[in-house]
Amino acid sequence: MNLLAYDGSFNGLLSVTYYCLKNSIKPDYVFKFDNLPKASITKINTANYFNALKFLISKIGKRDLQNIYYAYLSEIENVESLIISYVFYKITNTTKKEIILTFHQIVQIVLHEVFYLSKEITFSKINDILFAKINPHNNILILLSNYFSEKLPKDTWLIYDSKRYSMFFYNNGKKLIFRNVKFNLDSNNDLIENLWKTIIQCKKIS
Amino acid sequence: MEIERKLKILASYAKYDISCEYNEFDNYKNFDKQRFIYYSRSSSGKTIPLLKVLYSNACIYDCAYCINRKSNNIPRTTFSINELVNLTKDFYKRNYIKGLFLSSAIVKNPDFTMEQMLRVVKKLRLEENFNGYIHLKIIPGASEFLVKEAGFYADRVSINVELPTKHSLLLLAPDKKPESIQTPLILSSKKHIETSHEAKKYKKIKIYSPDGQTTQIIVGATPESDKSILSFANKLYKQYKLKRVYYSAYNAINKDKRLPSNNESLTREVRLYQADFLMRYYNFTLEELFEKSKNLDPNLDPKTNWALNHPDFFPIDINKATYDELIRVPGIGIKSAKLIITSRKSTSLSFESLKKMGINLKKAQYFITCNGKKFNSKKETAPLFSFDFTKEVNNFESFGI
Repeated sequence: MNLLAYDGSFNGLLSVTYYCLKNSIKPDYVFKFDNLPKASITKINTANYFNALKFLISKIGKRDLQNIYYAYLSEIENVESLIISYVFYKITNTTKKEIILTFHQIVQIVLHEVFYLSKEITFSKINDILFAKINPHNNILILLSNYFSEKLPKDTWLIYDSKRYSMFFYNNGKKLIFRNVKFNLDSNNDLIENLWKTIIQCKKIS
Repeated sequence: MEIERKLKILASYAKYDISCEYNEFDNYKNFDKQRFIYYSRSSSGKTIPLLKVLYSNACIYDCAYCINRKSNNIPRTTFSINELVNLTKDFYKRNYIKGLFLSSAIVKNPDFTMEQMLRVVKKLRLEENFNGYIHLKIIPGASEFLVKEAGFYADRVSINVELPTKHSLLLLAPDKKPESIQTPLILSSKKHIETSHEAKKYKKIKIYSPDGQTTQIIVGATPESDKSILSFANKLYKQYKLKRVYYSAYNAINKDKRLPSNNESLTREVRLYQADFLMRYYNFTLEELFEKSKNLDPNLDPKTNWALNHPDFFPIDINKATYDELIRVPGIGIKSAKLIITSRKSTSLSFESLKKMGINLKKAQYFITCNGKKFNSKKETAPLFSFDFTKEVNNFESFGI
């Protein structure tokens, strides 16, 4: 069995993919460093990620690389193996319908959630900071933040992923990501939010 | 809270304006629910939730059909420019809405109202850098320079023609002169066409009302037939290049001798939309839709009605029919017709494959054939357990019974 492990970052995934392509290995399972079982596992470090990135862009193009990133964000168990198989089939130009279909389905699921949440999440205002709490299936905090950086470029806002305890903070063009943050904010004093709630609930006048 | 009261009033009274409505067919039963959030469909096909609100409902006109007419005893209020700008900005920033649909009753005079609405839109765009979608109503009778300016700040402009004939308009809206509607309508459509052409040549040219222009017609308030309403709409599409004409079933909110006492049925509204689409996308002519009567059949959609009246045209063979013939089949829309045309290039189509393609055979089966064969409904309703009696008897014989 081919068992590999990486640090869980996207750069790490690129390094794993590069390693597999160079050594013609199709891994059965790709673990993350924080979740290693007791077995003989090849650990891949991220030192090689820049070469990996260059190599992958030249072989599969930027668009597919972007799709790989979306699939990676799905956080499905062992999605890394699927991604590596997909890259193999892409480079060798052999079609394995099942793998390609599953890969694109995962990409679509991630993008759909981004689209859905970009419409559905609402911000509250606390101390002049717009605040939104999300609980997404996929790790789409960064994708969502890209959308809102364009929509609210001159504001200060943060989106908190309560499932992964991570937070994206945006302040007039400056972007910061915090991991392992746990907090609870109460927005009862937001006048606009209360106004919106009243209006939503109000019955027709005539 | 003053702003809350104003918003409640002005959002509630804005619900009778329906231009740019999304998905009328599915949602017409939910007519009264949350009308201040308006789902507009942009030219790119995206649906955009808009805050739909009036700038004011203190109207100086007395149009018989309108809830805001001056003779009605209703609470009146007007937003200040800052109130409306801040409200839109705040709702937009919280991601409740993606834009603003701004309309108004006529306060003081048309120019004053239009100017105030324009100031709201300009402030949003220029001072607040508002990137959201703006649908702006043009006030009938507004001056030329205001109409010309409006389209450069809004994504879509619309002016309600309200009624399909001059006589009806003079009867129900005596304060609105037909010219006061026609002039801005012509002006804005001319501006849109001009700037769209120029933008193709020069990239820096800003398109006037880039999402086009729409209008609304009230159906059932006056005795015009469906044929005359659609003929009027056809004229609006062809001459003024309007993006959409919206039909609004008359809602009996006012008691007036000039008006019918009951609401117009929503089925009529739906049939008009269906006929409108048939004329715009399915190459049906007005005469074809109204061969036997001046009104559309409420019990049958116009396409099926036409098909039933033309048995000589059917059945058509799916593998041979042209695109124009295919889109005349009830149950086959534009997407399905295109799909059929592309799919049959590689293989001959059967009813099974049509089903797999998602074509609505429930309706289409009576009007089509596949390679000369009709749809066999018996096949579809074959019993779950079929017995071959001769076999059964033989089996029993072998057991010596």
